[in-house]
Amino acid sequence: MNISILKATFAACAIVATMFAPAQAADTISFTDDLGRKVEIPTKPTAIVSMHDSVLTIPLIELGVIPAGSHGRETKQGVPFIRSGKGLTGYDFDNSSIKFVGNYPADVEKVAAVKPDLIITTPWQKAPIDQLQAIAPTIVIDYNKHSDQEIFELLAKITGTTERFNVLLGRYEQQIKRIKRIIDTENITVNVIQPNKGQILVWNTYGNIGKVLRDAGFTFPQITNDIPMDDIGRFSAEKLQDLDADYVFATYRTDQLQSPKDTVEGFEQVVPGFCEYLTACKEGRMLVIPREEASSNSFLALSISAYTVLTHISGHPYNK
Amino acid sequence: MSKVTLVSPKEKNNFRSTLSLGILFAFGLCIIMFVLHISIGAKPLSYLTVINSIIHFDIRNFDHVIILKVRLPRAIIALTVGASLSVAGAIMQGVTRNPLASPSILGLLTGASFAIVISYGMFGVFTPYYTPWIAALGALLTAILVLTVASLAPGGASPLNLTLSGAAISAFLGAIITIFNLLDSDNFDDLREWLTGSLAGNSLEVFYIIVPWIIIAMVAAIILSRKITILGMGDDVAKGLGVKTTGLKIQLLIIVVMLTASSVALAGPMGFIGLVIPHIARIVVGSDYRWIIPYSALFGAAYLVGVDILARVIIAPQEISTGIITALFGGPLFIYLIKTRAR
Repeated sequence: MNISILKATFAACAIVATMFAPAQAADTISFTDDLGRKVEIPTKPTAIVSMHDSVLTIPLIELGVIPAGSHGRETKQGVPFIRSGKGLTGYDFDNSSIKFVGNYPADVEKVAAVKPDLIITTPWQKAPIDQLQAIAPTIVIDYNKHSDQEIFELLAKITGTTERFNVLLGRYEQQIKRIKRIIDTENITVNVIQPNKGQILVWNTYGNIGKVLRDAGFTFPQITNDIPMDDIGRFSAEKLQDLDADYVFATYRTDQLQSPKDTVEGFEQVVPGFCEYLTACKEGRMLVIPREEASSNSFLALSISAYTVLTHISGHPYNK
Repeated sequence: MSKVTLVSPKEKNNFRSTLSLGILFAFGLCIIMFVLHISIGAKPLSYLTVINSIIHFDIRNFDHVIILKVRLPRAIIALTVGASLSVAGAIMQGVTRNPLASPSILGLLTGASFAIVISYGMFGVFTPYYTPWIAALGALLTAILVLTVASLAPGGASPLNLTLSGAAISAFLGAIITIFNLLDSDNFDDLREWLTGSLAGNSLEVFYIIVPWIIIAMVAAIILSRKITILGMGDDVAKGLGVKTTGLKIQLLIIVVMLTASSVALAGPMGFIGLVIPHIARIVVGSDYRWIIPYSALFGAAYLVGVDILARVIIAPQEISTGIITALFGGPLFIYLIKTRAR
């Protein structure tokens, strides 16, 4: 009895939501998402809601598609923001038409209020897919199944912006070529490490900085290569020297108003006086860079990372 | 039905001698575990290096730094936390006459953690100087709350009511911690690992602030241990023997709060130690708290140091939170103890 009432209520909600949704474009295509669901989506969506700011919203904006609504984070004072939004794209909730639809889980009612014609979500987002699907065609993109670049490419296909994607990709490839031309990358070892509560976190390929370093052909320590792709290694402080390289990169979070000092303090917690025992640090070849540019799914961030690598590694020709 | 057996003075003396030897054995066990802890780790180091690092410490030698600056502080903190939680659990079990009593079951660990999460989440306070006090306040208020709720229930603060009240309040506070996590998941990342109970990256800075309080609490526990044994016979018997039960309970509550809060401030909430170790001590020494307290301290210290060795080497060169291992071992061990004692 109760289940019937629930079903009826849900169906009614779905109908009401459909009535208030914008008229669907006549042209639709069938899209199979990462959950294996076949969804009819508009060929030219005009009101997209992105359910993950750094993974989906930033790439959409870089592709020239301003979403109608987006997931975002909130400051301690409750002010919503798109992670890395202003820094990488110039856009945020307070200076654009993008509506904040909540964080984790996103607010389904806020999503409905935007009247989207397409919702793009990830398995991370807890807002129920069936409820989102009742509002507008909803597709799930699983970032564990795709590289950042593949997600970009997928979003370009969905939004009809492949041409723009190819321009951005071409620019990046040009930058990688330049690094390879100027630096003998194969003979230089690099690593990206992060202190975390007395341990050292290492990814096989960490975000943009990791991608740039791998694409440019730098050599990583064996211990880092042994970490499965897209996985994370939590190492004891005792392995600090195994993680050493000619150049070591670490990051700090600017969205939490951190500075390199926070990361250095984190390493001090791992091993007091760590810099003495990490050659890269001792000899001034350790770089602590903002995490937003190092990890966001953004071609601009990739460019910044590529430029950082180029200038810091080739920018000391007088070093022997 | 309890059996009354008459023990001759000679047998009593023999038993006391055996227990005294047992203390030495437990102390020896602690030393063995401690030596193993500083000798074994993600990076293989020879015993010669270990000895050299202690005798001729060279700050430029990273192997020496691993032993004296990474492994040694961790081993000292593991010893301290293991001993503190075990003694706290033993006292709670004695006072409440409840074999299920422990800082975790009665909500004190969650209370201390809750206070730290709130102070960090709302005020950004997570410093060595304030954390112990905040944890102590959280544990104390939770203890009072658990006691009040249990007292208001039909039957008063019986072992069952205390356990149920502790479980309910612990679940409630745990739910609020989860809400904080959901509302501010980015900032909560900093606390997530700590909440599983972690000994990684702890320096002796906090330890030096806390250790005087732990010593005071331990000494007080040993001094009051005879009265805990009497209290274990029931309030009426204890009063009949001249023990001022209310005052004693307040003193013991303060000791438990000091030990629990110190442990949480040092390593986060470590479950099961305070529950399991006193049972093991009781199997060895019987019901006399003059022995249960020191045995619990030594067994608890050796146990946590041993568990931490596993946490560091089981998937080396990576690590697991020590609290996860204590729960993995503590749960089955407790079930085994219940089954063994039920026979």
